[in-house]
Amino acid sequence: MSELKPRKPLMAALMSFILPGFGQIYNGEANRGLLIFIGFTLCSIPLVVMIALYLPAALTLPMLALTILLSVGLWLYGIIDAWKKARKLSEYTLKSWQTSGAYLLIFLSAMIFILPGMTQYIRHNLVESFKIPSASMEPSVMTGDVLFANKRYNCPQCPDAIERGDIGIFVYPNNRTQYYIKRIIALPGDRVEINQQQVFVNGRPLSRGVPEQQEGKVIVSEQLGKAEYQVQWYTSDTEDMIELIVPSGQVFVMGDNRSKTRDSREFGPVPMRDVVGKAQQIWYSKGEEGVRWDRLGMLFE
Amino acid sequence: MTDKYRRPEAQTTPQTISENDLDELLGNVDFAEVPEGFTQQVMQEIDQLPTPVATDQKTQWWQWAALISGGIPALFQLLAFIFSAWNVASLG
Repeated sequence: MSELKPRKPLMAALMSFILPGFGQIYNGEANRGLLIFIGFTLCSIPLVVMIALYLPAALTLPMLALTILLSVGLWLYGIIDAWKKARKLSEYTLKSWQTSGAYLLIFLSAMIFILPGMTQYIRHNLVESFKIPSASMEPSVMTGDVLFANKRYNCPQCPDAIERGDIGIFVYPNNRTQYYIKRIIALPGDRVEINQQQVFVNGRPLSRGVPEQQEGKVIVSEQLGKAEYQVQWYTSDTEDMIELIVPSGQVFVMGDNRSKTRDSREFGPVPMRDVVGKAQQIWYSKGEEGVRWDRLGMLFE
Repeated sequence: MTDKYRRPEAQTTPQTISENDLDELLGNVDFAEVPEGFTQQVMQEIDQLPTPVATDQKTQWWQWAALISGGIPALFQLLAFIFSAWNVASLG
């Protein structure tokens, strides 16, 4: 004898609340539930992030903000849709696959494998946020900056290869559980030398602007590759470095705060495979003086 | 007769039949007789079919327990996914 199992709107909505598309499956609409779940997982985040990374860097922040609106919108749509549909199903007979075991399997698959897998994929392969705890990259990157790093960088299928002047994020060679952020100064085979704070790459000095002296520090703009940035050092700092040839498969990195950084002068060149991302845009910045509104949205180009 | 079995010439030259001819043709055909009480018998059979039974509509306690115990970690998982790009990692 078949049993009528009217769908409960509250249950359908709650099921869609904890997993997009789950309420539709409860309502017997397996295809619709699957579509809502796929739409939520693919269209809302990975797709928009990939678009953001192909667009000019200035659009990264608004496009990533759009991901939140899209994903929350799809989530809400799923909840409302499940609620409305369940209200119409007062005379409902369960389908053969609608068992407790099937619900549990679907839920656990999504929560243990699919969503965590997608989260890890986005952070490892598309974009990840980093908070800057040190002053080693000042004045380009300040302590308290939170930035997006482009993770589609330095891999065979990635559109962006390592270039001199990039701000790279890499695995710290002396403690592989930590990431460091420094500027890429020289590529494999390049010759690097530092003499009186002037950096030479392949025998040519990096072009510089007019130095400014402030509170015992020298601040000067420097140009390397396509990047133009500011570096600083203490006037008392006179440390030089004899010429070094960057080994194959490695890069030479330095902090922009030349007197207050641990970089390749200390731990040597970094394997290229350990460079995992490139700093792209600041999305939040807070220092001792409070939020630095002027730095929000600032690009590293 | 369906079109499938019709000869090609029959398809190209449609034949007309008058109402009188049709009446005469139908008059010559013997139709099967409807058994006596047919309609009542069909209705009795339908009435004897098992009717769907509405079960108790109260949600059982274990359903709520399962929804809440699974729902809270699930919500965190969803938020981690939505904010995956904004989830701040630490740098050295």
